Amino acid sequence: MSSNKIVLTSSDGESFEVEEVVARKLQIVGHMLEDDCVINEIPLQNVTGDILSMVIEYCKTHVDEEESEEAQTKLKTWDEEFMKKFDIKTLLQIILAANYLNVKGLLDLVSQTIADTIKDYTPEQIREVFGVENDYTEEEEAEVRKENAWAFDEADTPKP
Amino acid sequence: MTMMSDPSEDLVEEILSKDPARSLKRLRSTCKQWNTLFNDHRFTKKHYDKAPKEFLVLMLKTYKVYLVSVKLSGIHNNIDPVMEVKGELGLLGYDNYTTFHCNGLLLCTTRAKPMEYGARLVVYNPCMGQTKWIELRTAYKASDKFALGYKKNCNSYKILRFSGSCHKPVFGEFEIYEFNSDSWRVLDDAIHDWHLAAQGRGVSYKGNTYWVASDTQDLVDDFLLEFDFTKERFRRLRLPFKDDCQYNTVVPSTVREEKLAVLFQSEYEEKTEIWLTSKIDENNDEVSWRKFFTVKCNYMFSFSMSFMVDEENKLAVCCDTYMGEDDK
Repeated sequence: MSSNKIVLTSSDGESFEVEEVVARKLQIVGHMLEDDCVINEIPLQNVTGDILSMVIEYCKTHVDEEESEEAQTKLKTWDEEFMKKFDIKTLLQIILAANYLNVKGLLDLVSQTIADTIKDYTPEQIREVFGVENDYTEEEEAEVRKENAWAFDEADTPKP
Repeated sequence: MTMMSDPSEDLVEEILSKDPARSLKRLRSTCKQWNTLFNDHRFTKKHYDKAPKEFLVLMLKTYKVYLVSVKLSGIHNNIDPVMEVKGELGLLGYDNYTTFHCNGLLLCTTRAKPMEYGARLVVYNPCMGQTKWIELRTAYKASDKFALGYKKNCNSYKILRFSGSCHKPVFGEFEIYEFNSDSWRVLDDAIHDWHLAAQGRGVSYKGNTYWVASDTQDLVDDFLLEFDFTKERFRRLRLPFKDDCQYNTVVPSTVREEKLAVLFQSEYEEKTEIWLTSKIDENNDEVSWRKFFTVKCNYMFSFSMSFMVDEENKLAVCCDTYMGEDDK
């Protein structure tokens, strides 16, 4: 594998110089490189510098994924620690970036982390975080709540 | 600067398919679209494959099914365990007489209307909020026993019906209901030659049902009775203790539907044992049991007691329905 360097530029103009093997973890970049092998600077319009830097950190760590159980356990621990750094808003930014940049492993990791984070959220908190509009009438909402009331019992302490 | 907005439908689905069923239940009131999504067959399949399985403790109290919250994690650090009866599980019917649980589904004998004579059979999925009423082939009798199970590898559910009382061996009184064909049929070749212990309460484990039973000819020596819903046959399996007294308490349970548990309380020895197994081989009638613990206990449980095992914290929670008004 060549040690060719690639420069990734974020939507807000921040540049990151990374090894080609790391950049290829972003499948969107991988496809661009296949189409035209002389690119060495890639603008990524849909992701900001602060989020891109986190994606790159993930890709650098996952660049050689060894099969051995020990290496896998180590990576798993790293993933857990890595995810702990972010609040829900940032996690949602990362999942959008992982989806756009097409980083499969990160997409799985972040979606699981978000699922774990929101599992005790109330519908109100979810609407706020996901930007979902409540399209029920007051009566309809009360009815749906009533049907599902038993599931609310342990979620009455809000977690921001 | 381009900022990305809220996650797309695909991403939202990806996230929600990894949330436990009870969270989704709660999130149905988020918006209409989510409520519709959670009923969508494609989504429920994805959810079934990906979501972590949750374990809930349920209690039948004054003919209603309640969710019970059990917090045991601090018990070894001097934090008292907390058990609370929480909300009622949906709007099943009026009076639920018996319930049987299998793979997240509840099978209940219940009255659909107040003051209705007899009872009807209903299968309820509490997380989906779906119910299926099942017509019986012949009129319901108070002695009827029901068990819910499934055929291995294809998850096609079946119900077994039989009479809870048996005084001499008899053929042809077992009925099987199949969800796929929505019909009942009689199992001609199965013989009913046993009595059930523990008030006939059975537990579901890997699709099959297990009871503690004794032979109609020999009421003393208990065995584990299995009904295999795939092969549609009964089998007697050995219990790991010598149960030589009719008045001992022997009750089955499961550990997260991953292990089968049996509680044994001796009438004379003031001891209670709990045994576990995770290996029941369909070709081998010998079961390898492991003793979970023995405790000295001078309280004698009634036959209608039930228990749950928390392996991690090395404890069992027992609930005896015989004592006190509240527990009835």
